[in-house]
Amino acid sequence: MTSAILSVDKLHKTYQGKPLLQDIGFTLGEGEILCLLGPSGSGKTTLLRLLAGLERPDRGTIRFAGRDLAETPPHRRNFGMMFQEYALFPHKNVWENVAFGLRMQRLPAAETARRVEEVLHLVGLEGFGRRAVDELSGGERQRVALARSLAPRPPLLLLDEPLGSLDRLLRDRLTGEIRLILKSLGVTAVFVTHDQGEAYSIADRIAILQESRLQQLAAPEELYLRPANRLVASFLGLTNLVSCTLGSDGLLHSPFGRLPSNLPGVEPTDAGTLLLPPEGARLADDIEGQQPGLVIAGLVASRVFQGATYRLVVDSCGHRLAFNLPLAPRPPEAGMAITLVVKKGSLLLLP
Amino acid sequence: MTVRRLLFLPVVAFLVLFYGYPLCAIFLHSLLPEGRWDPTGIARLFTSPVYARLLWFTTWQALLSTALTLLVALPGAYVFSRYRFLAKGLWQALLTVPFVLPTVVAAASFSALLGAGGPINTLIMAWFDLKRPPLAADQGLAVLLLAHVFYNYSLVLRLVGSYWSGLDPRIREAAATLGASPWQIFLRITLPLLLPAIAAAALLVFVFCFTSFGIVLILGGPGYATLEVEIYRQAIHLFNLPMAAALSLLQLTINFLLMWLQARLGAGKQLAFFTDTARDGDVPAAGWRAKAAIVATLLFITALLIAPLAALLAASLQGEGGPTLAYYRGLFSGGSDALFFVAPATAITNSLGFALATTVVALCLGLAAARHLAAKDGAGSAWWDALLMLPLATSAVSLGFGYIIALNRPPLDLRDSLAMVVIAHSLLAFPFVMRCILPALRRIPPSLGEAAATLGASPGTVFREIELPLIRRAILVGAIFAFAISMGEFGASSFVTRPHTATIPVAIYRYLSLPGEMNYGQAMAMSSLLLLFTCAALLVLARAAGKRGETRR
Repeated sequence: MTSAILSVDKLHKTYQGKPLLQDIGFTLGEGEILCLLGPSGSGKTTLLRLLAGLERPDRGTIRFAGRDLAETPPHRRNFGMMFQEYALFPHKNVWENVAFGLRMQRLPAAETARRVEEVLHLVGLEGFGRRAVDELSGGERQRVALARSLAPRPPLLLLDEPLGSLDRLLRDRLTGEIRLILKSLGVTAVFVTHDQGEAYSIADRIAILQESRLQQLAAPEELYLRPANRLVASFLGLTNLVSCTLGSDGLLHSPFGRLPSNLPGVEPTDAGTLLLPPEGARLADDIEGQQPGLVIAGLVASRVFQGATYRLVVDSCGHRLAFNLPLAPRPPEAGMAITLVVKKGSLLLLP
Repeated sequence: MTVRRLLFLPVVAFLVLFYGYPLCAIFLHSLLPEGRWDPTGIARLFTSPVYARLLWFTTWQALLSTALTLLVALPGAYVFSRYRFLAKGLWQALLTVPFVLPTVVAAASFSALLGAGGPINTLIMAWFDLKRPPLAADQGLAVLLLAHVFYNYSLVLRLVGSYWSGLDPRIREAAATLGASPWQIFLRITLPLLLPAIAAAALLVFVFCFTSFGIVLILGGPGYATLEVEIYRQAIHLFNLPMAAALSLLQLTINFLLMWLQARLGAGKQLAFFTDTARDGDVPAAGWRAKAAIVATLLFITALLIAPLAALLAASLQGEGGPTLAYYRGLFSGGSDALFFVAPATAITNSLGFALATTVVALCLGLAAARHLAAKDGAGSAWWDALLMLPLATSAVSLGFGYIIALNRPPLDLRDSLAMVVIAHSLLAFPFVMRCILPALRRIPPSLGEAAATLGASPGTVFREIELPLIRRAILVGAIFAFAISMGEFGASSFVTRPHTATIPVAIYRYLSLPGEMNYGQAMAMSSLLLLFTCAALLVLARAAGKRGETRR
């Protein structure tokens, strides 16, 4: 990784006595795309607004390129920001919207024109300059907003749920496009979203914000495969969490049986959590050979067809677990007994 | 933010100096007339039967006016909120005329319609072959009530009508599917939902009629006086300043009580009487009953609104020997040696000058106030909001009176200053301007300014590049309002103008109270000019409002 260009240290922010952000610290390398991911109310938008200078932290520092930004108002930071709902200027056309930041930099008219055309081309909106913004579709507005924030070539781009108000299909297409555009320009970016899929496909690294704290900061795969704690795991949809203890026999005692304690994850303790990934289970009959694993016998509570997989909810030993199983062999339907094996290698120990 | 705060200070200073200070002067004058504690003036208000009768008359004429207005306007509100008919927009535009029509013009119109030489009397005399006009009408209670209905009809129609058309029709449909008959739906669903709007409108009408000045002064005749008229009479004719101050104090107290009541009713929320009502769920009239209702409503509006205004225009062109332009010519020529003579041409230039100055001052104050209130960190903005609206609810006559007793000596001696009129008009106009601009400012999402800031725009640039263009129409509407208010203002002007600073309404009043056909004709001619000006202003207003619709996001 290149050296850190943005560094945030011990950031605190409260609003009306309620903590919004507590002890936030991270660094970001040049050209890196960071996603702030978390449920609504987790403080991710607040963090973005602090970076933009639209709000002031109660404590802590934000440094960019070695400079403390505490006393720099937003219009002197030269960061780009893309807003939720885009905040396009309704009284200006596409061209004027995109040119706004360049005009603020007092660039010569010719240079401004060149840069506007360039960035409109980049987002695939050549020839849209004269359009009024209220004539644009949602996707086109989103592109204009991106173009407007990119035009002044900001050293840091902040994006606040930029795809939030688009429909699913458009969203999936634009997520990929945004990453391509950002990477082609080599922009350093912080991207706020509540949608994991979006975060996985755009980010180099993902910061999970929950309960006003930074819970984990990791690359997408690592995040999903090794969530740091129960909170992160359940936010990512990894809900098969059961308590386990370290027995005097040196084995882990779980409701579904004993396991060797050398599982991936944290060191086993007296009160740990065992994560059973939803993709980790197979029907017992379907296992070839004798793969070691955790055997789960129970009743099928529901079976829902989901396209590529079945979503199976199973009640076993007082726990309700959910697994994604292949279409064949067909798992039993609701009300039937079932025996599953969860591969040992896929289990994870959480604190 | 700090600049915004700083710009709000002049507004506060203006309010303190030109609202608070005159009111304090009234207070002091009524309780300490000679600089000593002497509440006998106040005491006389409550002991003398003369003032009890005055207060009683003021109250019951207002009550009666309100009841009459509701009676005729509610059916109209139904028709306008429910049906689509020919040239509805035009009728709605016509209904806005009384909002900005100067009271003096309205009074002159009714005098023209129902006066001795007016069309109604002439018609009746011709039909029944009478020698003398049957209606001694321009001086009487009936005319006064009629003029109040004229003024407030469209207010009720718009307030209640827009609320009515805003009611979700699905509520009625739901009631129907649950088995309610149309009559039951009206009684149990529509009426209870409408009641807040009706109550708010009624209270507003009551306040207007209670503080009615020009109408009563001109049409009421010597027999009828409201509190406002009596304040004027005591101060100007009898020069009994302590008594006038005592009456003003009473009037102000009642004003504030009514205002408080209005706030309690949440009536302020329904005050948006300049919203476009075009979007209502109009249905085409089906069946003879609906058609009859529409025709009856439109006929009524014609009789109530158009007839007096037409009579005014006719009277301004009608001499004893047939059609003539003599009155208009008279406005711009000749003079008189009479005491208190006001040259019409002077009055017209005065009015235009004052109106222009008022527009500028009121725009600055209104914009600064609106920006303060719209800021999300605007301290105590709900409180300020109410406070800034106070001048609107304050009797203009009392204000004018306060000005002449407070601003006539050091430290603030404005007796001979032209600024006095402008200040009074600005005080009455800027809350309107603020009301026009504030919703437009609040509609701007904060993210627009923030987006501009992240793109490098300083707060000043954000105001110039983002806010100002987006509230341009609202500013235009506010400016027209301010201009029209200043052109038509009579209550305060009747105190603060001097012969050489007289405005058009003041001049009209003078001409109406002088004998002679020429004077009456010139009053009609000047009123007609003011009427035409008002209509022109409304036209611009309607176009501005129309264009505002186009640029909606």
